[in-house]
Parts: sequence; structure tokens; C-alpha cells
Amino acid sequence: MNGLWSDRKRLWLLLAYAGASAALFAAPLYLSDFRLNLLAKFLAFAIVALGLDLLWGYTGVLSLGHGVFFGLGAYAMGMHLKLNASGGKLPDFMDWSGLTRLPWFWQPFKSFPAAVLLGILIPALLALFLGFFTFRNRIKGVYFTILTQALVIIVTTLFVGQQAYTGGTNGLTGFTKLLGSPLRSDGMKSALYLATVIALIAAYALCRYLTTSRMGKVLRAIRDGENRVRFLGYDPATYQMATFAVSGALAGLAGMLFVLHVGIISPSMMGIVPSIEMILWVAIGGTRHADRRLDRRARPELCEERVVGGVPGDLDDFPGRALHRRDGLPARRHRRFDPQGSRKRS
Amino acid sequence: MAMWITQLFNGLSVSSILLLIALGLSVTFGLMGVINMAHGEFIMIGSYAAYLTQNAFKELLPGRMFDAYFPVALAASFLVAFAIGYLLELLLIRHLYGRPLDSLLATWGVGLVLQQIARSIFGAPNVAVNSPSWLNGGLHVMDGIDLPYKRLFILALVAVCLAAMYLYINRSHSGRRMRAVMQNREMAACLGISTRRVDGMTFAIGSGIAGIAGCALTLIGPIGPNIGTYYIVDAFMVVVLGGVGKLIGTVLGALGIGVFNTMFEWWSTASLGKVFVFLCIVAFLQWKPKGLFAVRTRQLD
Repeated sequence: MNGLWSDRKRLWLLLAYAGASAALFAAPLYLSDFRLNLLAKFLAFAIVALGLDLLWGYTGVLSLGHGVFFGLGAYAMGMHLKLNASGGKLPDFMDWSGLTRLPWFWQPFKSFPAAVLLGILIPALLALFLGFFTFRNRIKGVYFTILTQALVIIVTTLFVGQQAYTGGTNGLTGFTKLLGSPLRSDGMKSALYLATVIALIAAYALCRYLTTSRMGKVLRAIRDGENRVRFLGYDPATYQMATFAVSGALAGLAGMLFVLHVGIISPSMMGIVPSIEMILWVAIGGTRHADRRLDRRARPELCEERVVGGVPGDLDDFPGRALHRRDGLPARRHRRFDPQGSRKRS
Repeated sequence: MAMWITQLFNGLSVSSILLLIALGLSVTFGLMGVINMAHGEFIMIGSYAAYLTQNAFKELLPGRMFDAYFPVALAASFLVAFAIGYLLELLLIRHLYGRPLDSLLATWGVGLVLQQIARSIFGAPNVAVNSPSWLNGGLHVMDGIDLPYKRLFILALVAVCLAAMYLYINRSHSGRRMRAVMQNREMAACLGISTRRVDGMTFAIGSGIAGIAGCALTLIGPIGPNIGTYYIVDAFMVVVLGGVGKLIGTVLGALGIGVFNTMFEWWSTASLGKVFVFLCIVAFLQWKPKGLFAVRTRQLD
């Protein structure tokens, strides 16, 4: 009975996914150019949101720094387009700032595959770098969040300050063509839109795969009780680092698509405010995707678990503690033992 | 030599402002585990309170009384920020305890609302507050070194605030209750301390100190609705570096960040200096993940 019901549910879910994908793929047929462009932009944002959800919803790590990863991807693609538009000469802003030749670190961005690859790899590596130095030392929760926010400030100041290399406050714009064909043509717009849809579906599939695999189980376990996972022999830092890197890479991918649709990237699009807005998409849009719904449902449990886990050590002999600590009962059941409710703080 | 001393003094000056801002943050963060993203807006509230006091003195009192406005402005900034902080705790923060990340987003929203309110009332452009004439000029130490009275005054103000805070936390009854709640909330509650009242009071005091910081900032430059956002991230870094729950940690954190920031910016450029400071902080946290001073507890999760 139960199995049948879940089979039917899965069928409906599959149908819904298929319907949504079909509607997205067919959008160029029934939407005007303007709206298509808008939709494409939103879909690019959805990719960031997916990555953030993977990180926040499944590992409980809140990053306020995804604007940076988004921006790095966007700058990678933007620089490729800019170099393309300048046609072998120096981009105009470098010329104004007195550079005579292209700096070495922008050289690889002349080729399209390299730019795409770097646009994903650089954010992932930066995330891995920051994750390596934080998660391994068990710097987590709000400390990590504050560090990511500082990262945003620093990277934006750096991009504004190094005008000769990054275009300063104005950022990069004035793109003309991609892979030889003009960016503003109708065919190109539809192609870019479809590429975004495919990227979004691929990103969704990746997140889905990660969360339903064993890794997803470990991630949720880390979220609910990091120390318990550690005692079971897992290394939470590795999982968190990997998730952070994947999440950063998705943000980079989204940034690249964003630049292709919008045609400009500047430091103000990677600053503190956009970064927090990204978090808000995930926080508010919680009920849309199946993954997010799961996450929503799990969140209150997570909080309870934290408070329960936070019963101070000085109460070691307190009888309630033995009940609280009963090997990993789901948080909800604790309340039955503890009629006061473990959530009450005072 | 003169250059070095000037830079060091600048560093100290930056540190003192950071310290004033971080003081309130570290107390609310340490006590309640709430990240108050609206803290910067309490600075703004303090600045505008000083601005209003100045205007009131200009309009209502004879000109020779004008210089006396600053002490009144200090008190007004503290009280206004204190009251609004208490209200915010009562209406919003109280319902978000135990959810640090949610409280972060909610207070960020509050910050936006406060900024917009300020923009609607006072307008988007910056407004200037005239410093009292007794703070103009500077102390001439030697050739090439002039220490402005304003900066010296801020240093003294910070010292006074710090001393008052120390006395309050360590010598007063309500400070003792605060320490008890910070060390072990459940046990303090069991012993009959109203943790709610302590939370509200602490949050209000933290906000009030931010208000004083805002008043001090009017001496340095013009003020605007966004004034808080310039300082808030650095202030958070001070808290992370110094560790929560101990005043001395906040003091050393502020000194470290202020002085190193000034030095690095002197040696390189302003944007690269910040990168170096960030790298230093991350490197430092490798050694002490909980910051310079952390209150030891036996809590695990």
C-alpha cells in the first residue's frame, strides 16, 4: 500500500518535472524577446540558489560570500567577451589605465573553452581554499558566515581598486560577439537561453544526485549533529569543503550565464547586498523545489537539535540529560520526554 | 620617524572607533548568539541624534551656548539608540533566539528599513555636523607630528566607555547577572535570573554604545544613511578575532585590526591592505579558532 502510494507519487513528480522542463524548453516559442531575456536571467540566478541550498539546507553552513563566486565566474566570461570585442588589441580600460600589454593572468581567457573552465574552476578553488582553512579548524556557524562576508568586502574592494586589470567600478561591458556570431542576434539569444535551461537542469540533477546519494545522508547528519558524525568516523570537514566547492562552482557557472544575458558585470553585482539577496531567494523560495521543501521541513528540527545539543555540560547529572542524549533519537521525540519543550530558553 | 608615529596614531584612532562599535556587538553576540546586522544602523541613529541636537541648539539657544551641545548630543545618542535597541529586542530579536542564521537575515532586513527611514526623514545626501570649537586644532608634539584634538577626544571617549563597561560587567549587580547568563544560560535561569530581562538590557546597552560611536563619528566627517555599513564588517572581524565574552579580547582585536590595517594600507594600496589583513586573520584563526580569548565552556555542540 505504502509502496504503491510512493510509486504513484514518484510518477506524478516525474510528470511534473517533465512538464516544467518542457515548458522551459519551449519558452522561446511563446515569450517575447524581452521576457525571454528576463527569464534567462532568473534561471541563471536559480542555479546560484540551487548551490546555496545544497550548502545551507544540507550542511547547515550559511555563506554570505556567494556574490564573490558568482562575480568571479561572471568576470571570467566577461573578460573573454571583452578580449573578443577588442579584436586582438588591448581592452579600452587597460589602455586608459596605461597598460601596454595584456597581463599574464588574463591571457588564457582568449580562448572560449579555457574561459568557461576557469570560470567554474576559480570559484571552486577559492571556495576550497577558504573551506580548507576554516572547516578543518572547526570554524563554523556564524564565524564562518562573518568570514565569508569579509571575503565579499575584500574582493569587491580589490576589483574596484585594481582598475587597470578589472575595469574598476565600471566593470566590464561593451561585448559584441561570442564564438564569432553577434551576441544581440535573435538566434544567439535563444541559443543562450537554451544553454541556461540545460545548465539549470544539469545543476539540478547534480544536486539531486548528491543529496540522494550516501553523501547527502552524511551531509544531513553533519547538519544535525556534527560531533556525532565525527565520532562515527567520518571527517565532516572534507564533506563541507566539497559541498562548498560545488556550491561555489555552481555560482560561477551562473555568473557566466548572467554576463551572457545581461552584457555587463561590475563589482556592485558581487557585493554584500547581492550576496545577501541570494540567501533570501533560498530562504523565501523554500517551497518551490522538492529539495527545498525537504530543507524547509528539516530546518525547525535542526534548530531544536542545536538547542538540545546545547544542554550545558554542567548539568551532567541532571536526569533529563540522559533522556536528551538517548542515542540520536529524532529531535521531535525529545519533547515527549521533556514536556517543558527543549526549545524553551528561559 | 615622524611618519611612523603619525601612522601609529592613525592606527590607534581607527582602532578606537572599531572598538567602540565592536564592544556592543561582542556583548550581544557573546550573550545571545545573535548576529545583529542592524548594529551599523544604530551607529547611524546615534549620528542623526547628534545632528538633531546640534540643530536644536542652533535654533533654540543663543550662539555662545552652541559649543555645549556635544555632551548633550553624546547623552542623546546613547539614549535614543538604547531605546530603539530595547524596542527591537522586544519586538523581533526575542523571537529568534537559538536561530543565529535566521536572526542574521531578519536584522539585516531591519537595517534596510532603518536606513530607508533615515533617507525619508533626512534625505539621501550626507549632512554635516559642526564640531564644537574647543575640539578644533591639534596637539603639536614635534616637527611633522600634529595630533588632532578630535581624534584624541575620541580615544579618551573610548577609554571612558571601556572603563564604564568594565565596571558595569564586573562590579554591578546587573552586570553579574549578565555574566551568569553568558556563562550558562540554563543554570542562571534555574537560579532565578530573568534571562529575558538580561537579554533585553544587554541588547539595549550594546545598541546605546553603538549610538555613542555614531556621535563620535560626526566629529570625523559628514554623516549619511549608509554610515553604518562602512564599519560593520570590520567590527564583526574584530569580534571574530578577539573572541566573544571577554572585553580584553575585543580591545586587542580592535587594536590588531586597526593598526595592521593602517600599516598595510600605508605599505601597499588601500585595496591590497584589506586583503593582507583578511589573510592575517584567517591565518591567525588557524592557530586559535575561537579568537584570542574565548570563554571556556563544557558545551560540545
